[in-house]
Amino acid sequence: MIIDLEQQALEHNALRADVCIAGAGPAGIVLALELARARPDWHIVLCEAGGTGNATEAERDIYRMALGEKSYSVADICRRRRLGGTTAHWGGWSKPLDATDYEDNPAWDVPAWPITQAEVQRYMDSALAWTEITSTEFDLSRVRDTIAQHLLPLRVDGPITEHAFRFSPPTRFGTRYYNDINQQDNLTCLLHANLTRLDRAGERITQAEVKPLDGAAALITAEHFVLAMGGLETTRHLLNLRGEAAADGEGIFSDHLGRYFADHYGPRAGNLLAPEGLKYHRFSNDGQPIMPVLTFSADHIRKERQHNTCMTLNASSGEGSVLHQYGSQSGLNFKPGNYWQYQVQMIVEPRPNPLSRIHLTNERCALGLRRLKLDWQPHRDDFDSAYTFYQTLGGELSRTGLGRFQITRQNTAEHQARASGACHHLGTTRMAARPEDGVVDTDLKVFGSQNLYVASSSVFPRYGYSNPTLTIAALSVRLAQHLAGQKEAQA
Amino acid sequence: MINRRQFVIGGAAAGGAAAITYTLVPGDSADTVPAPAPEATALRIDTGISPAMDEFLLSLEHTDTLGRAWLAGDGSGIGLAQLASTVAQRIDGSAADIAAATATRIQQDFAQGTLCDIEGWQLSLTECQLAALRVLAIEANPANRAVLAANEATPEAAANSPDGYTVGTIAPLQNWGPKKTAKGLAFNVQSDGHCGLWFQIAGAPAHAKIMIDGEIARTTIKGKVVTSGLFGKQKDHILSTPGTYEIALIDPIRKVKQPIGEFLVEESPAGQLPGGESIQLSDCTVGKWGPQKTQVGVALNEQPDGAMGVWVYISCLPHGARLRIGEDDLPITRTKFGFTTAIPKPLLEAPQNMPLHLVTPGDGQELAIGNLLIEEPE
Repeated sequence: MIIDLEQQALEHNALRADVCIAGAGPAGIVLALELARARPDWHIVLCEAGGTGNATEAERDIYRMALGEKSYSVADICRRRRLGGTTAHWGGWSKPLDATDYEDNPAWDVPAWPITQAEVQRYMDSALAWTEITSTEFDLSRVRDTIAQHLLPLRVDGPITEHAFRFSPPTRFGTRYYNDINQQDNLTCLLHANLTRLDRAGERITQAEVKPLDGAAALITAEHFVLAMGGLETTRHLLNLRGEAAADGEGIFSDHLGRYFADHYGPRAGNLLAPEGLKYHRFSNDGQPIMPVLTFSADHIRKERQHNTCMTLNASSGEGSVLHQYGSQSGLNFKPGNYWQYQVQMIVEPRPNPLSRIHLTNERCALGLRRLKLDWQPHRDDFDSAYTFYQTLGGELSRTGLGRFQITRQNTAEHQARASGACHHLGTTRMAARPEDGVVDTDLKVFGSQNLYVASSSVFPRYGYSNPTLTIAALSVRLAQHLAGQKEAQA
Repeated sequence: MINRRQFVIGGAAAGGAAAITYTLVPGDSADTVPAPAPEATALRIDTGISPAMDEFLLSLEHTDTLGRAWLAGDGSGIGLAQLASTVAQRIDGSAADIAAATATRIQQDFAQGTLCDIEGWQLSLTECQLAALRVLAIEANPANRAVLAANEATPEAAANSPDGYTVGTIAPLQNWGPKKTAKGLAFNVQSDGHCGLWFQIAGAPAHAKIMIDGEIARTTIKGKVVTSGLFGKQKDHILSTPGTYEIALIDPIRKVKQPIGEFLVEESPAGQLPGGESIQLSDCTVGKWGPQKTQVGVALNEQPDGAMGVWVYISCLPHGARLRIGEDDLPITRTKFGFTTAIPKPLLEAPQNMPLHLVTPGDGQELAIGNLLIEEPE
């Protein structure tokens, strides 16, 4: 059932639920429907701050935040405040994290994932179904033969390898699953239900207050509460819950809360001269979209403690370049064939940086919540590693007669400062095995709390370059099974 | 040991000599330009290293721009003999397979980090020096001038060349276009970004070129249709500078120029774009705008933060107007011709046809601009 609080107040302005989920983006919708279907004896309440359409100016003002020294030009488009959340605009780029994304980088300050890739992989089939990805082969080596003419003949044991993105249609969760939500008997979805307060008694959250911008507040009592409002709003609520208390404890009192903010971004370092017809970009292979990307090999990442950066290529005319129509001369150590120029686009794996953080200001929004200040500070190592990757790839091309590379933008702080984000809000409630290393535990429960959980990419402790939605969905399925008591039963 | 000799390659293609300038290397060649001869179709190279090396150099088409760039930088002031000596020390001119020997040398350069940096390209020092040696050797032989003149010339080269053409008739012109644009407004934009011009000319010789504002432009002749256009820096200059620009058809062999007309760049449609509270969107008319299509994940007209810059010509512009793309309202920047805005890259990630509207949030008015096509590459 879907109830719009702007149109209809709740009876007695109250609801009783087994699980209350705040936020109806992909994480919240997957979690709510999985949970409702797994436990028909339970009542699930899903609270969405917006409606089914675009947020109004007044609603969007709830998001307004201050910025630190670094700009964040996607701030106005990266949150939706509507049913379906950011899937209203996402491009559908999907890929599980790579093996190295789960592993510690000894050069970094904090540990990586406390759960294994295999553990997340158990829920990937469900995540693929939720995102309606029908072509599910992400291991490029298994389909390489069918598109080999569009890929570089890389050394098997070299420092460079390839991975593949697949694509959701893209699924607009708010419309695609509207009927599923509305028809699920044991699920109540409240629209225009802005979370304004979480009441806490000791280690338990006892109730949540939600209300439309102009209307009566309603109280939701539940056994479990899940914040699934995205990587900024979720953390904002936890920071508001902490209030003026010191950041010297666990969970909401952890100094990790709000730190390690990251987003995917990347330099366009230059151009490659490489064999014609390369397709390290999205294209259709037998009717299924695929996007091969170039990356460091796993061995190289581990051995050299590099970031897991990826690269796409887009052919350019090369007009005006000193190497226009260059290449193919065997005497200049080119392998036979025609050569094109390609513009390089990289996506860096951001290093978790404790100085990159969100925190509260003293200004309050219309809901009475303190506003955020985003002080995004990408780590200097991000660009260094990306340029190392680019130069390593360029060196491989040059030595093996497959091309040359050009650096058009130097690796400078100014270049890095201009980079903007991809609307992937990562890291501010990081998952850890120990309270000393993060905010939520391996079950996504906030340390020090008995019944407060987080479903968001903010729990990612290491980020890779992959778009996070698929992994968010997998973690939501996993959380649903945990809350329903099925994960432990399976184990 | 270098043996100087004259080596002639008959019938060698000369297209790769496109970017040779007429600047002479002191002491290495004569200072007069011989009259073009119809039979002058082959370049001559004599480095003194070996005939095989000279033949190899002749085969290195499309390297002359690189060679000139190296000579303008690291190789500044070096002469033919000195560079030939340097190259001869790096590559055995008597090798049975010069190409193979050179390829090996280049591999060694990359392995050892013996590189040259040309406009950011990380190249082997050997390939830079070979390209430069080819340039010097071609320039050293006056007989090559006629061959060069008869072949492809780049705008950069043309910019440095004297006009020196005699006005005459090459082939009858029937029509051409576009004949004008407005300041800042790219026209007939082609896939590589240049602004295309077309000419209906019956019987233009294959080597004829279009000259725009004194510069020879890239030209393609297919039957009665000649295409050319504004490229690179010349495009930027002309589009940003109102005025008239002479267009001509030239025959670089006969040194004949046939005037075609003048391309006009007008000032912006209005010196001051009407705007204000009283302006209604329904009173405004949208003109040209762009870019109108891109590829998935690619921000054309890239802005410093990676967003895609979009420009729109419009006859008036109410205060507070915003550009709606899909479901997002983006801020705009008012200009003399209309407005510009930047579409964040995350909105360009899915193939689709995204409607663009100008909206005034206060009264809910909308004005359709067009659709931005985001394509999936084939």
